[in-house]
Amino acid sequence: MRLLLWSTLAGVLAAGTAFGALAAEPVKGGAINVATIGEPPTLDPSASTADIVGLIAQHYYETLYTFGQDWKIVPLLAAEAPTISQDGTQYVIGLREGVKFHDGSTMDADDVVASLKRWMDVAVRGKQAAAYVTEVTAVDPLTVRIVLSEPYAPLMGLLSLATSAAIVMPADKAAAGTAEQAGDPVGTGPYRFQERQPDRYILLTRFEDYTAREDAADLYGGRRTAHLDEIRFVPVPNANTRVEGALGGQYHYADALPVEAYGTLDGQPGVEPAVVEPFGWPVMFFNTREGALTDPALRRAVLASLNFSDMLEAAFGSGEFYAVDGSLYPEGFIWHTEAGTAAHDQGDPAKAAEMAQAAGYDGKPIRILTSMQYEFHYKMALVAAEYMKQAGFQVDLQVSDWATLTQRRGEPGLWEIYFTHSPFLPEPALNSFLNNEAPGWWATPEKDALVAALNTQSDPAARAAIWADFQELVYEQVPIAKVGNFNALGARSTRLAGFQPSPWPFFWNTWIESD
Amino acid sequence: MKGYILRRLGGMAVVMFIVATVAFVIVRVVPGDPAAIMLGPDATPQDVAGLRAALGLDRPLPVQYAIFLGDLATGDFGHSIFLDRPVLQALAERAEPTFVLTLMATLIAVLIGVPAGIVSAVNRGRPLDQVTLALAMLGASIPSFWLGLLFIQFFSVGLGWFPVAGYGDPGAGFAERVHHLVLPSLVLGLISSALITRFTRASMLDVLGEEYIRTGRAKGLGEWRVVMKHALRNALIPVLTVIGLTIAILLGGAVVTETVFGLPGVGNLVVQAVLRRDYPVIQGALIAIAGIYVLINLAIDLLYTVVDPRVRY
Amino acid sequence: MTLSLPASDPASDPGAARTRVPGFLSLLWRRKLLLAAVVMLGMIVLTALAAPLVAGFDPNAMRISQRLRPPGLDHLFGTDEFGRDLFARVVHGGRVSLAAGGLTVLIACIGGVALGMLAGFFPRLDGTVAKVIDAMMAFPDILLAIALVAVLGPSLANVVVALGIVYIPRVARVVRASTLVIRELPFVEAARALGVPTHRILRYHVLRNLTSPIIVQATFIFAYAILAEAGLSFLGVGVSPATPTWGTIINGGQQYARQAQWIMLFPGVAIVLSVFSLQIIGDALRDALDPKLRKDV
Repeated sequence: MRLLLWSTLAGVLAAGTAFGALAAEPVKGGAINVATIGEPPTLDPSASTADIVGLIAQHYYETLYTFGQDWKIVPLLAAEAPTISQDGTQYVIGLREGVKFHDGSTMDADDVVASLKRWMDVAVRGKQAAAYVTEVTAVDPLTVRIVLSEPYAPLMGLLSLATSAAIVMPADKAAAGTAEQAGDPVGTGPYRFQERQPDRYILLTRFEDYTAREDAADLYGGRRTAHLDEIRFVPVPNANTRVEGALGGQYHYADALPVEAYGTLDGQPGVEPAVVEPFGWPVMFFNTREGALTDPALRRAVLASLNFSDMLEAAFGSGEFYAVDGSLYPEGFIWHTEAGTAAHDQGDPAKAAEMAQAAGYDGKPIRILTSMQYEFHYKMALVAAEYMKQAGFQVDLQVSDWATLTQRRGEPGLWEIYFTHSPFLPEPALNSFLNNEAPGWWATPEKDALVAALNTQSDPAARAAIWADFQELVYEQVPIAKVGNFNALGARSTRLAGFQPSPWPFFWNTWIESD
Repeated sequence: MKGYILRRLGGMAVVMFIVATVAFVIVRVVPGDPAAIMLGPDATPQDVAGLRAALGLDRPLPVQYAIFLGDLATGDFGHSIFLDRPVLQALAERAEPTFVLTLMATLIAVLIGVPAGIVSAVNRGRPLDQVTLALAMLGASIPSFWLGLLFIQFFSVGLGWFPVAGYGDPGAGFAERVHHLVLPSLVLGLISSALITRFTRASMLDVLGEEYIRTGRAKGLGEWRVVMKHALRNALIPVLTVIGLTIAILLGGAVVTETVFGLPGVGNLVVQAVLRRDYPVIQGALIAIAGIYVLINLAIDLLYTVVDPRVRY
Repeated sequence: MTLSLPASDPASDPGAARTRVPGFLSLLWRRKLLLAAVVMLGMIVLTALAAPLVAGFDPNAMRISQRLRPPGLDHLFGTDEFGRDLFARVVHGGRVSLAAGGLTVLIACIGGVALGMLAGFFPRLDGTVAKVIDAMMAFPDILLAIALVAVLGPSLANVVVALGIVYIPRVARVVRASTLVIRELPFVEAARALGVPTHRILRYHVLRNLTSPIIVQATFIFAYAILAEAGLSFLGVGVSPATPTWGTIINGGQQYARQAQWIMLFPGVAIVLSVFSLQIIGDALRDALDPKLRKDV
C-alpha cells in the first residue's frame, strides 16, 4: 500500500515537473525500436568513450551519480550528495538500501568498491581519476569512502558520466575484468540486457525487480520507471535510411539524423523532430608538437582566416541548428564566458595573410584530417580549407574513414589540423585537450598551472573564474579552435510519450500511447 | 571422374591458401586499428597501446601469420574483436538473410531473364529483340543504391507496403523476415536479370541453329513446340552456369543493397568490419565467402557433367 | 597455309579486329539502338572533355547563400548544399568518373594481359598463375575493392588502382583462354619452329590476336568501373568527397533525397546513360568482333 502511494505520488510529481505538458497517463507494456548510428563497439560503457555505448548501456548499468536538469549532479545509486572533508580529499558516499542487481543479489559497499577499482583499471576516464585516488574502501555495508592524494574537483563529474562510465556491478563480475570476460552485463538498471544480434538489434527487457529512486524524475536522475516491456536498439548506419524508417513508422525513435532532415520530418504525420539544444561543439585540433603550425603566431593566423559562420551554415544548413559562439560553453552553463572570444569568427583572410607573413610562414602545406563518418566534419573542413587558401596557406585536405583518422592523429608527423566534435561535458576538466597527451599535445607552463588550479579548486565560482582565464589562454595559444555550438536532431514517433530530448537519449519513463 | 574431383579439390586447397594469405596481408597493411575504435574518441595513445597488446596485435607479423594459418587449418576462424563471438558464429548469424536474399533475387532474375532471353532469341534482329535486350541492359545500368532508395521512398514510405529497413523485430517469424527481403531482392533481381537474359538469348540462338532443330522444323512441328520442347531444354544447360555464377556473386557482393536496406547480411558484416578494423572478421569472412565461391564453381562444373552427357573429364 | 611468313596472316586469324571493323560499322547503321548508344556516349565524353568550356561555373566555388536552389535558368541543374552549381559539378564529375573508368580499364588490361599471356603461353607458369587468378576471382569485386581502398586510402588514384586490381583477373582469364588457343595455331607453331624470339611471337602474333576479346572485356569493365566507383562512394569508402565524381555527388546528395532530389537525380542519370551505352556497345562489339566469345561473361 505504501509502495502504491509512493509510486502514485512520484508519478504526480513527475507529471507536474518534467512532463507537465503531457496529460496522458503512462501505459505499461509494448516495445519500441530505436534506430542508432551503428553497432556499439562494446557493451561495456566503462571500456569506451563512444556515445553510442553510453546511450545503450545507461539502460542496464547505473552509476553512483548522474545529471539532472542543467547538468547539476544528482545521486543515482548513491543515497545523496557525498560528504566531502574540509580539505577536499575525502569523499564519503552513502548508498541506497536494497538495490537489486539483475542477477537477484543486492548491492552493497563491497560491490561498489570492486566496481570503482575496476573502473580505475579499465576506463580511460577512470585511469585519469586513479592518479589522484589513494584509497577506496567500504566503511560499512552502505557507505564507501574515497580518499584522494590532493583535491580533485572533476571526480564527481567523472562518477556521473554515461561514457567511460563508473558503472556498478556485482563484485564477482567486477573482479573478472572486462565485460567480455565477465559475460552478459549485470547491472542495476531499469532494463536488463537480453540478447545481441550484431547489426540487427540489441534487445533489452524490463527488469521487474528494479529498485527505483523515490524522488521525482529529473532528466537522468530521480525516479526511473520501465513502462515499456522491451527496448530494441537497431543499428542503422545509413543516415538516410534512419530518416526514411522514421517517416515510415518503423522506428519509434531515430537518433543522430542529419539536421537537414528537419524540414522533411516537420509536419509529417506520425513523426516529430526531437531537437537536443545545444548538443555539442565541433572543434579543430592543432598539432602543437610537430609540423607547420607549432608556432602559436601561425595558429593565430589560421584562426583569423576562418569564417566559422560559413563553416557552420555549410555543415548544418538552417540557422536553427547551430550558433556561432566562441565561448567553450554555451549560455546556461556556469562555465560560459566571453573571455578571449573576440578572436573567434574573424573570417579575415587578408589580415590572416599578413599575420602569417609576419610569423614567417614558408608555404609548408597544412594537412587537415577529416572523415566522412561525420559528414559535418568534412563540410566544415572543406569551407575552412577555402578560407585558409585565401589567406595564402597551402592546404592539403585529407579525407579518410574515422578509423584511419584516429590512428593518424596519434602520430605527430602526419598532420597539422584535424576535425572532431564533443558533447558539452558538464565538467570542463573532462575535455580531452586538457590532457597533455591528447593528440595535439598542447603542453605549456601556463596551461599546466591553470589545469592544476582547476583540478584542486572545489569552489564552483572560483573554478568558473579559472575557466575564464583558461579560455583566454586557449584563444592566445590556439591549441584548438571551437567552431560553434550545434544541435542534434532525432525523430520521435508521435506515439512515443514521455520522451525528453537529451544528448544520450534514454527510454525509461517513456511509454507507447494507445491509439 | 573421381580423379578429376580429387584434382579439383587439390587445386581448391591451393587457391584457398592464396586467398587466406591475401586476406591476412590486406588486413595487416590497413591503416587504423581496432583498439582505438573500441576505446572511443577520448582514449590516450597509452590506452590504445595497452589494448593492442591485450589483443595480440603487437606480436611480430610472421608469428601472427603462423598462428592464423594454424588456427585456420583446425577450422578456427578466430574471435571477433567487437562482436564478442567466434567469427564463424558471426558469419552463421548473417547466413540466413544473405542466403534467402540471394535465392529470392536469383529467382526473380531467372523469372525475368529466361523468358526475356527466349523472346529475344526467337525474334532475333526484330524490334522486340532489341527492346527486350535494351530493357534488360537498362536494368543492369542502374546503380543498386539508387534503385533501392527509390523503392524505399515509393513502396515503403509512400505506399507502406514494405518495411523500410532491417530484418524484423526480435522474434519475427520467417514470413516477416522474408517480407523485409522483398524490396532488396527486387533490386538485385532486376539488376542481375540482364546477365541471364543475354546468356539465355545467346544459348538459344546457338541451339536454334543446330541440326536437330532444323529437322524438327522440317518435320512440320510448330515453332512454339520446337522452341519450348527441344531448344529450351538444351539451351538451359549453359544458362545453369550463369545462374550459379549469379548466386556466387550475390552471396558476397550484395553489400551496397544490404547497406541501403539495413540488412544484417554477410556483405554488411564485412563492410562494418573494415570500418571498425575487426581483423579476424575481415579475414574470416573473406575466406569463407571465397571458399563458397570456389565450391559453387566446382558444383557447377560437376553438375555440367551430369546434365550434359557430352562433357567428360 | 604459308609457312614462310613471320607475321600472321590476318585473314586466317580467328577474330582479328581489323577484319571485323566494317562489320561493326554496318551493324551500327542497321541497329538504331546501337547508334543511339554510340551518339549518347559520344556526347557524354565530349561534354566531359570540354567541361571547362561548357560548365559555366567553377564546380568548387561555394556560395553558401545560394544553397539548395532547384534547377532553373540561373542553375540548369540547381545547386548543392554548398551553393555550388550542379551542372558544372556533373560535367566536371563526368570528366573524373570517365577518366577513372578509363584508367581502371588500362590497369586491368595491362595487368590482365601480362598475367593471362604468361599463364597461357608458358605451361610451366600456368598452374601457379591460374591459381592466383582463381583466388582473386573468388573475392567478391566490391568487397575486395573496399578492402584495398581501406589499405591504400580513399583517394581517386587509389580507387582507380583498387578497381584496376579487382578487374585484372577478369581480363587475365579471357586472355589466358584465348592465348591457350592461339599458341596452338599453325602460324604460331611455325614462327616458333623458325626460331622467332618468344617476345616477338608474344608481341606480334599473340597480342594482336587478343585485341578483340580485350576490347570487348574493356568495354564492360569500363561500365562496371563507373558503377563500382559510385557504389564505393555511396558506402563512404571511395573517392575523397572533395573530388567531384558522379559517385561522390550522389553520395553528398543522399541526405537531401527529399528536399533536393536533383542532387542525386542528375549524376544518377549520367551514370545510367553512360553505363547503358557502354553495355550496348560492348554487346554489339562482342557480336561483331568475335562470335565465339559471345557466351563468355
